[in-house]
Amino acid sequence: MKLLKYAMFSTIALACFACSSDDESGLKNDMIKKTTAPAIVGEKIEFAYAMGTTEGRLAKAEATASFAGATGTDFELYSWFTARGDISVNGVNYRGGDEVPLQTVKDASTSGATSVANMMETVDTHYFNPSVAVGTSQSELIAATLRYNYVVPAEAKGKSFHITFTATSTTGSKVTYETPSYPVSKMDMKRLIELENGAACCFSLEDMAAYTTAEAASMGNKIDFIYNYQKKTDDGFDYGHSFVSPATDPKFIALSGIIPSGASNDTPMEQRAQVHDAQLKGANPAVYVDDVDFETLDLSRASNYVLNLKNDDGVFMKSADGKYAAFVYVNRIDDSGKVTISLKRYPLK
Amino acid sequence: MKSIYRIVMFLAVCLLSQGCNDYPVDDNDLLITDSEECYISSFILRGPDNRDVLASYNIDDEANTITGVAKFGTNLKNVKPQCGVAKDCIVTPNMGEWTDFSQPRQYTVISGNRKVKKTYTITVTVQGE
Repeated sequence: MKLLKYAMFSTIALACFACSSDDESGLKNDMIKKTTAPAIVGEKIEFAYAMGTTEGRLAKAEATASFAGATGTDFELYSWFTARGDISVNGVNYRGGDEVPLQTVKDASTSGATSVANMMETVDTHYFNPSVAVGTSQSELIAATLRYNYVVPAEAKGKSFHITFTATSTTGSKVTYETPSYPVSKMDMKRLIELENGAACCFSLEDMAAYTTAEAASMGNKIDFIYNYQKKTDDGFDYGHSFVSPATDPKFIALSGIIPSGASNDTPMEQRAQVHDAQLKGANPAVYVDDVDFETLDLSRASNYVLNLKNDDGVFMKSADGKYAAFVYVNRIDDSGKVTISLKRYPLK
Repeated sequence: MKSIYRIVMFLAVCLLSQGCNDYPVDDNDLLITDSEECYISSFILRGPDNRDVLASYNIDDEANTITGVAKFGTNLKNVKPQCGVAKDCIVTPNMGEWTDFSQPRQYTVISGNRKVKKTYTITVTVQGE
């Protein structure tokens, strides 16, 4: 009977050890994906990776992506904290509420799909304890939130990617955080292209570039729309900044001679106001045109021109050959006969 | 005694609940009121950018017509009509939907008491055409 008791006690004790998990470790980590915009090739996706340990101090952080990131993929050297009051850090004055950078990474590098950040040994104690004045003392780096930037590579277009973050402490403990899969858009994006009366006014969705009428004449039927500006028509109607197709009825084209020879595309297009896209605008609100907006786009009753564009207007259009859909955003109009646009293009085929 | 008291209370509650229904509702759960007024007071035509495309319009309550002139270049095949009406009126078919106005369209206004009907013919032309 006594033997049975000892056997049961041993079994229970062993079971407890077998059930113990990494949750017992003093090293913890967490992650937030800061970027909310669609992941487009060439764009930066920002992550905040937090690590903390009660045993030893932080040694390094690693990020391994399922697709090796494009140039610019790396950990930043600085973590950030919010100033509680007026402080001076490294000769720079900050006011309460300002975000203050503090170096927590000694060096960072990226090779292939893996980025490594080797951590500093100590940081200013103010980072952990705001009641201690900056420059008073240093503390061992036991916790930090790092910024990791992943630049979407071309190989990931239309697919998904994920990141595995790993933190290592000086005691040799490791902890990992695997992100969910994030979809990569099929869209291409180009910003801040200037179109001008009598200059580069002919636009190709294929090239995502503007050409003069003379240049476009040697390009066959590549032009999808032409920009022209005139305050009013000869009959006194409002015209303004406008996009026309090569096939548009000449009565809706203010300037003569702007259609390149050989161009005949009939491009359906519709104007939008209040359709915001923070990536094209370069500012909030943080709403975006995404793949689904093109997949559900119906231009079956659209005309092949839009007139009187204003600042912040947009135009949805489809190429005549059905290859592309696009959203062209008007960043800025200039009544001397110029417009600055940015666009997202989506492949329909 | 108790059962008589309960019956009286039950009847009182039933009568009170009937008294609270001053106006009936139609099939769309809209109130049917006493109002006999029946007309369109204003008209807007919106383009895909949600801006009003009309340069001018005129409502003729005797001829029951609305004529509008849209701005130069307006694509009338894809516009959205909206209107203001007299108190408690409804309009059929529904406005507020993308519609082809390259041909005249008819909309019927029905008074709040659902007894007076007036059908308007809306015709829109475009500047320069």
